[in-house]
Amino acid sequence: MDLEEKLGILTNAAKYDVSCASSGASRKGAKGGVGNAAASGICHSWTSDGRCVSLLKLLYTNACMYDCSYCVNRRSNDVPRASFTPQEVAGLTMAFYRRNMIEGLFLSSAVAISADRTMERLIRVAEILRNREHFGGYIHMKVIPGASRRLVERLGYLADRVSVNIEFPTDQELSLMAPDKTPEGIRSNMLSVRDRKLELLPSLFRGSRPPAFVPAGQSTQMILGAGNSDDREVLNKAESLYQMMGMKRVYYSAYVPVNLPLEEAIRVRTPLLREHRVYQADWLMRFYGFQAREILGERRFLDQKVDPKAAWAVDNFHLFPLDVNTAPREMLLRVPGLGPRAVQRILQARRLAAISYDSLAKTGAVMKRARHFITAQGRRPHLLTDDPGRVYRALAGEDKDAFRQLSFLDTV
Amino acid sequence: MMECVFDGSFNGLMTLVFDTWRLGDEVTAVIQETDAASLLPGRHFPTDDSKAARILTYIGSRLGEEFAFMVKAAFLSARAERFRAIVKTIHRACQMGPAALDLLEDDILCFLACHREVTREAHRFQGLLRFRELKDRSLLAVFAPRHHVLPLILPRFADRFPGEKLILYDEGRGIAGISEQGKITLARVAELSPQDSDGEQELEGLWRVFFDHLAIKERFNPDLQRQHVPKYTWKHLPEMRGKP
Repeated sequence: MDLEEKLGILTNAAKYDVSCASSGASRKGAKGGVGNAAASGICHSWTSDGRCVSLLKLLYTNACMYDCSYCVNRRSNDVPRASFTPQEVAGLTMAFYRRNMIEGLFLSSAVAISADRTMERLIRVAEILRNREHFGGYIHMKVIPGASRRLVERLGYLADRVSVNIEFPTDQELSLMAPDKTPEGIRSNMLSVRDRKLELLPSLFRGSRPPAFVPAGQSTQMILGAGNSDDREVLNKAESLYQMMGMKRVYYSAYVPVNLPLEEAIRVRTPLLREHRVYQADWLMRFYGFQAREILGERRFLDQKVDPKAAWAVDNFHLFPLDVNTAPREMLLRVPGLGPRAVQRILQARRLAAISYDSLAKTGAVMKRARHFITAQGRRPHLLTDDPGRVYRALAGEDKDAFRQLSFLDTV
Repeated sequence: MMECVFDGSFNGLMTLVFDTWRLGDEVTAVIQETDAASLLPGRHFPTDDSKAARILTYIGSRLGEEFAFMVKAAFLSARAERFRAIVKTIHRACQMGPAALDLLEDDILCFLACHREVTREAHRFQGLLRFRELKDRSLLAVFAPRHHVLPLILPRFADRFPGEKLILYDEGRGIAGISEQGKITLARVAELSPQDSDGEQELEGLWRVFFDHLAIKERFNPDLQRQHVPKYTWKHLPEMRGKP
């Protein structure tokens, strides 16, 4: 089998893993080496599904021993199988990197023979890149679920980011869908990374520079819509991963029914809107100071018509309107239509002079949304509705003007 | 009411900032002098490097290095109003310090927009630039950015590939940037006639195989793709060439 054919098969087999970020590590180019890493991450292209291409995303092999029901590479599937050699993966990485096509390598693998044997192959690739090619670009490596602590730690000194996919929010669901993986194995892999990072912290404070260990942190992924779990379970799990495991990112992937016969598969809709809403909720937890239970309120699933921040604001309508000249930052961040940048500009501008209602749009606020929740110097459009039900419909795009009926008794 | 004309160089603009210091609000337009338009009415400001140096020192020490960088980045913008926005913003910042950038005034918002668009496009081309290997093993990238981002991105590529000879060619402006052995130079180049090295075709083929296999057809979303990879960049991307 030639390289082109292998590349096709093993790209195809890797594409459902959604994490693509190349962010979180910062490294200058070294003399005699090739490559650096930018903290913000860099995207090099976007495929026709609108997803970013940052890393050379490959499976080392797709010949799997496991038989997970949701996975395209499961043992019982009749698909073409292929395996790279470590030299081939390293060679492709260097050739693409030199032409600025990629930011680095993302390497995952099916489980061949055993978790540890597979991990050793991945480590070999990373060793060639770092030690022989002096590659300074980004490396994201998958930890094979259940691999031993010793190997996870070795990999951590070579890669910028490592990840092991948790796949489902509950242990029961994982056991059902992926009978060969154990929740304990995945948890222990995450703990190995977290604990070693914590062990290295004190020496950082002492001013010595230990060798970098997973500098961009670890990430993981959950599949939405393959099992029965609801958004509440997904968000609670994500929150605990951020807080307890020191996870840098949790990715979510709308389930594509790869293992159903075509006539059944076309009837299953890939839950893209659900995925979108869950990502929005994830952002609220990471950048807007929300907690999972606040976002969901009484719901099991996130509102589909409006985004979770708008849904929260309508649920808590009694807290509004806020005066942009006096409200604290935490509350401004909770106003639909105000993002971190608009809030920052409001805070800076109001230090110099009070902000008028008319100049609010210049801060970058989306006034069509924000107008229902804010006032400036006691002013807001006179006839705006104060009925939360109508505000909800306005935010959902169902009520165009959202002005209340002009009454006889109004003084205009 | 005063229309100010300068020669289009960065030092020229800084001279203009220096000379219009006391005129403040009277400046209404700042125009670049072109050969055809040298008879433009309005006041001409001949470039004086020492005045420009004094302004730059002042900006660097009183308003901060970050502000100085923003001025340089905004200058690279392709917006027509960029010169006026830069002059007005510096004048304002000299009156009240870097906090001037927090004012919600049109000239200042325009200045910030210039800076934002330039840095954003520079970031975009850090990803969307493609090199190909030439016969002598040097790496050539041809691109056509909207803003003049070449001076911003060249040092970043020089850091990334310290051992390579790099040529970045801005096709629209006819300017090439070269990085070789830690040295960076810019030059006007009317035309290039590059010769690719032997394996280049196959390598591009492999890249296209990777790219085409990566998309998930159930998630097909070409609008989102175009939002991130605008059409004006397609011509120079091997993975997009020949696509509708």
